[in-house]
Amino acid sequence: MSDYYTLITALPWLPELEQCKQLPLSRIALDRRLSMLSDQDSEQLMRLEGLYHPSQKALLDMTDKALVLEWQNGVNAVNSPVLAEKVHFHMEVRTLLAAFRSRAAGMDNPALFFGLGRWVAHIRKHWFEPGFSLEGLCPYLPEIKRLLDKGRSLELDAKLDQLLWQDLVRTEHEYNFQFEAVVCFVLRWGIAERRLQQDGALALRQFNQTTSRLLAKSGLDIQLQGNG
Amino acid sequence: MALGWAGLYGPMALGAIGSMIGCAQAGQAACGALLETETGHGRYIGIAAMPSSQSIYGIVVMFALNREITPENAPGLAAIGLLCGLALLFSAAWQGRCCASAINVSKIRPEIFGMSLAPAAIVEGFAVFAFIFALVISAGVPA
Repeated sequence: MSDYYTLITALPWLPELEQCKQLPLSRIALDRRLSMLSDQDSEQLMRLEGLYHPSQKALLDMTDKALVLEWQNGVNAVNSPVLAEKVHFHMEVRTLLAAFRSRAAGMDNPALFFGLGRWVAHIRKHWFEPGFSLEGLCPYLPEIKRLLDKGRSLELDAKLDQLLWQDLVRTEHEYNFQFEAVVCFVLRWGIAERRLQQDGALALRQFNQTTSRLLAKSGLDIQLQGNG
Repeated sequence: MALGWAGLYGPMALGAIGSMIGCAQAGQAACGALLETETGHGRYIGIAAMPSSQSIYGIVVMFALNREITPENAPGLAAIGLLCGLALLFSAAWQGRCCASAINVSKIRPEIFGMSLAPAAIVEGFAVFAFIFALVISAGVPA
């Protein structure tokens, strides 16, 4: 347990997700600090990151069923039950979202729906009920459904990220100075990185700044204005 | 007789073991904080040394109990020495964790440095209780 004291205090503080305007350290700097982990811990961390933040390519290339099977195999190889629970929670939230979207897309046969977690059978059984009869168990469900119905995808994404973030923060505090805290920090770092990459306005501003800088350097804008 | 000797050396040995654990944990945390901060390094190293006080208490209790060991006083020495040693061991080990937490939070917000040391100080208080009352009770053990 004491192996993580140096690493935990070497990690910077991550502010609340909404207040996170830039990452406190780069992936290269983070990886340099994570090199303090043993080979086994590094392997576990890599596996958990892969499960929690799957690549878009993997999500697009694989069928739902194949994805679920791969996730199940991955979770079975996670040593910490606490961290496996974090991945499960993430998958369950995504499964709920997938169920809403599948139903909205016109899926009439719930038997064709694949997902992961405790609620899959329940979702299939209550397919035609507005909130799959899960509102009591998942207090965030009405809000998710409302955003989904209104087509406010960005807000929905933000809401889900906030949900996952809070779950990870709680675990990080509960397992202070343990491997679980390290993993939760890295997973939160991943959520923050994804959110910052999704910031459309910021991306546009950076694109404009970069374009202006490049045009100013090359003198191309003067030529363009001259031609105009 | 063997128990008597264990009771005599116990406070010192167990206190030292606790200090080793506590200082190692707090020291590791301090090393990590050095990597993440630009200033205030001295205070982190200072906090890391806090659990060493239990060793000193152990030495004092050992000297207070030091006397010729006889079959009459051996059980008393064993009870006081070993129980006091255990109290010092656990307090030092857990104080190390408190110190590591204090280092971790004061690294993020240096202005709460003093307040963050309160848990470590409270744990120190219990070590002082064990130490003082071991001294008081040791006076009743036959010489």
